[in-house]
Amino acid sequence: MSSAKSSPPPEQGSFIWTRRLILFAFWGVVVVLGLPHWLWTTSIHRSQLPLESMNNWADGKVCRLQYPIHVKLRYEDAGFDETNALAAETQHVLNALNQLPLYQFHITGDLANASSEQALLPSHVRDTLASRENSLIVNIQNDKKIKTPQAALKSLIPVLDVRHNPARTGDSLTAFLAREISKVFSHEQNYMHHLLQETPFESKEYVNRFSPEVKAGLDARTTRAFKYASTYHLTFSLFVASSSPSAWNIQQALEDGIYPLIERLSPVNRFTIDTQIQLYASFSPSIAGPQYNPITREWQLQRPDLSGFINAAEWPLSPSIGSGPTINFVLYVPSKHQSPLVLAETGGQSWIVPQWGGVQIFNPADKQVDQLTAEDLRPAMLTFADQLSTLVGLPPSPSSLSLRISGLTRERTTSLILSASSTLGALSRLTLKLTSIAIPDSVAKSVSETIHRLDQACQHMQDGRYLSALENARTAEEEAEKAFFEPSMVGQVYFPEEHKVAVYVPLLGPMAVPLVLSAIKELKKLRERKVKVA
Amino acid sequence: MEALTRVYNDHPKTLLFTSAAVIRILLAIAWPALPDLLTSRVEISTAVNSFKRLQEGLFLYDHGLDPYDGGIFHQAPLFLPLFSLLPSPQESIGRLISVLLYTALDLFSAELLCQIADSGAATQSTSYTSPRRQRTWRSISVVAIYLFNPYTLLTCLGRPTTIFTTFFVLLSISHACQARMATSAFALAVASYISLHPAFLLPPIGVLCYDRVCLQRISSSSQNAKPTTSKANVTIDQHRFPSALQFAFSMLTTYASTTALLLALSRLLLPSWTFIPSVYLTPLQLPDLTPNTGLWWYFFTEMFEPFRNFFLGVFWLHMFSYSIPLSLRLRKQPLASVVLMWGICCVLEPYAHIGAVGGAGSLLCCVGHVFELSTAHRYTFPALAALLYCTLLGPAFHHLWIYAGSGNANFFYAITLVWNLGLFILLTDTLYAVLRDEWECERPEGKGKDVRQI
Repeated sequence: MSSAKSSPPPEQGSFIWTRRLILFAFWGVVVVLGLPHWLWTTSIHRSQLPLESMNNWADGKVCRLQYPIHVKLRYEDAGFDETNALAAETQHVLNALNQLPLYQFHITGDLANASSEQALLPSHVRDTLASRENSLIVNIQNDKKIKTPQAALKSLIPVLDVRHNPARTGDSLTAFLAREISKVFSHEQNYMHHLLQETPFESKEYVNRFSPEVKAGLDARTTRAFKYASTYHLTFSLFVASSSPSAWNIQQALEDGIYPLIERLSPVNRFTIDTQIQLYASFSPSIAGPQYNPITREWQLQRPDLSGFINAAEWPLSPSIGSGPTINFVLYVPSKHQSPLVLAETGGQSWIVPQWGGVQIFNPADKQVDQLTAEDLRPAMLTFADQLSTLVGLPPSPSSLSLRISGLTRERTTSLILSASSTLGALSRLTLKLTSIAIPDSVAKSVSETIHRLDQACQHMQDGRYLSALENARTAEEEAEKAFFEPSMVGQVYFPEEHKVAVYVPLLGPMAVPLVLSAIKELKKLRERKVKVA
Repeated sequence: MEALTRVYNDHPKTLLFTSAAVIRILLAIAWPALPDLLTSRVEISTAVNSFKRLQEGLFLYDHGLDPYDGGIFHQAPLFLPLFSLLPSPQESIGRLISVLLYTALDLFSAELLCQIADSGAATQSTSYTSPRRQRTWRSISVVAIYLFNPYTLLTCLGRPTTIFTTFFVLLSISHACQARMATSAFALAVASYISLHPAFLLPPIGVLCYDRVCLQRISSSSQNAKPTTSKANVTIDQHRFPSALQFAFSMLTTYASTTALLLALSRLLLPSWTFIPSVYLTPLQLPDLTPNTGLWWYFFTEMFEPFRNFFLGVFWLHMFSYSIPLSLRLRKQPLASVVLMWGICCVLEPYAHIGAVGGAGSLLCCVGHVFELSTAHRYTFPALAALLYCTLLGPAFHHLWIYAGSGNANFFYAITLVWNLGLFILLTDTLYAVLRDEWECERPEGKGKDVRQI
């Protein structure tokens, strides 16, 4: 503040000290308050993740997928020892067969036969009791009238009835049993291999080569079925082209046709149901519509029309009610002048829309009815039940429902374990690749819960407790998804280090320049003064 | 007319106060919708002082609910019992009564300003006497500037609760000028209890108060002792000064205990402690980004989420960082450091509004004796012109953005930038003038010369 010509008079000591104090006050705020605040607010919290066990799961090293199958052999006309010997021999043959490498058979003779009070119970009660612990029960009966052994599965319970003539067959009964049992599991085996193909869990020993037809069938099964969810919502809709029928006794029809299946499926999935009726339902304008075939005197829907049959714009079929996915079942009643309506080529009346639901055409009898009775609906409901079983992914074979459901349990558990493991692997790769993203504690918690549940699921599966394995696998999969899609982790994914300069400099730069420069100047003066004094 | 002039010459203060009160009440009566219109203006009401939000809190309080549950009310809890005594401002009588209350508050504030200006603290301290002490503005002028400037006037009708902050800050300063440490610390504690940022005034007000206490000792001893040379007087009396550390400690204790008492009182009124995060975390974390005249809202709408907390801290630390250096540098003119620090707070506070500017601007006139320096050498006129320009254009641009939809956020943001730039220029010019006044005292040969960087 003085003219440049004459050098300014020396400063007083108090001024120097004031200036130093002021500088010190500014720097004090920066260092004492600013630095800790910076460290505190911008440090990225990265919880420790169990990367090794995550990768182990992703690489399929932890869990060897193997399914023990407990089979009970009941040979009423043979003695205790004989039954046991047969069981042991069959087990040896089956396990040596190497046709079903994923399965491990444990075949035991039914001891209840000889001793306990169970023997007094009627046979179907015994079967039900036994089926809780066993995957399959084989009932062998002697029949002198037949030449070759015969086998038949019961449709609802996991019982294989075998009749054979002891006089005519020697040890070929063992081979026959082994063949029949492996036949029961052959579809499931194929599907499992299809699932495991090209995943780290794939077994090295067994390279399965499917024929193209089998592969197409397995693919079709996968594409048709819904993704696994613990709860599905079922919507049954009656669409009527004209004004009648305007009511249906759906409650009774469901109780007769659908509830039994749902009940059997209840350990795997839960279901909620609602129904609706829509009158004057018109076709979607995008399809050509049915054509009259004078030869058969039928109205025929062409194949290309089937995919557009559902009039999504006008029919009130909401995509999802509640948490789970919705499976739609549509019963379409054509108007009188377009009746009977059938599908061209096949003449059938129902079809499946993959991962959406089932459609069925109901051609009423000649007389005009206002209400569809449960009796009228019975065939439709049976078709819907069949479609439902396809849509939830129930395997098409073997013929016993209970075996199909236990197969479904194993398949779903396997696919959930696969999905959770691969999610864990993806998460581990993500955290290693993006070193600047935050990992909240909730993610670490979810990951450890996932690993715990996966361990449980694997353990239970190896013990043959498939339902609790499914329960654990489901939780594992949910937790893994929750960890991977944690919203606070995603925010900083695309925030590279260079951007931080753009964040800090515009505001902090102008503040820092005078502070730094005056600090340097003051330090220089301090040194000069020291030199002078010295 | 003559009678009026005579009355003015005899009782200027009475006339000023009466006319100020009459203007406020007349405006409220003549345009009954005006107070409510002003209450809803973003320039006057913010998330932490809005009269409307106070009504919301009052409603919950009167119905026995926690007023902070609604997430709308963020003002100090002790307002609730005070305002629940008044009739509802929805009716005309209630509105008039609320305007009356705020008018009274304005008059008290004006009286405090008058006391500050009369105390002479601006020109005299223990170690310094301004050579321009004859140019000190008359206290009546300062009062007139406070009572009749449009910012104060409109804010009074808009009735934000931050007028209480201004009042208590002025109370604290005036008591500091009268060397009353306890009451000064008490008033400052009340002010920071209401608004948080007046806490940054603690260092400058402490220095001011200490200086006035010392000055009092000097004058009392100089009356007792025989008049000798003033220099000798000072040296003798240095031993009689109270210990600075002890003084700071007792001031801090008073401040802290008053704050604790106020918080405890608030807790007694309310069912839970939720008021603490609601009242004090709102300015700290800035959850409400409604545009106001301050610098924060636009910055934090644009800020990347991971850096938000860091920059909130930086803004607060920035505001705080001026407090101690200013009181160090201007310790010879402690009132100037208080005035400037209060000005900085009013510009940099998170929920800025024009009411604070009205108060701080009038307080600035208490150091009016140095204004000749800033008007001669600096940019006071452009700054004042910019303020005027912003006052007119600000509401227009806000309307264009929010209601007409033909502008965008940048319109209003640009105006608030210019507004704050103008305020900063005024503040730095005053700082320059104050420092130059001090410098000219030491180096009389430099008087009237221009500044040059060397």
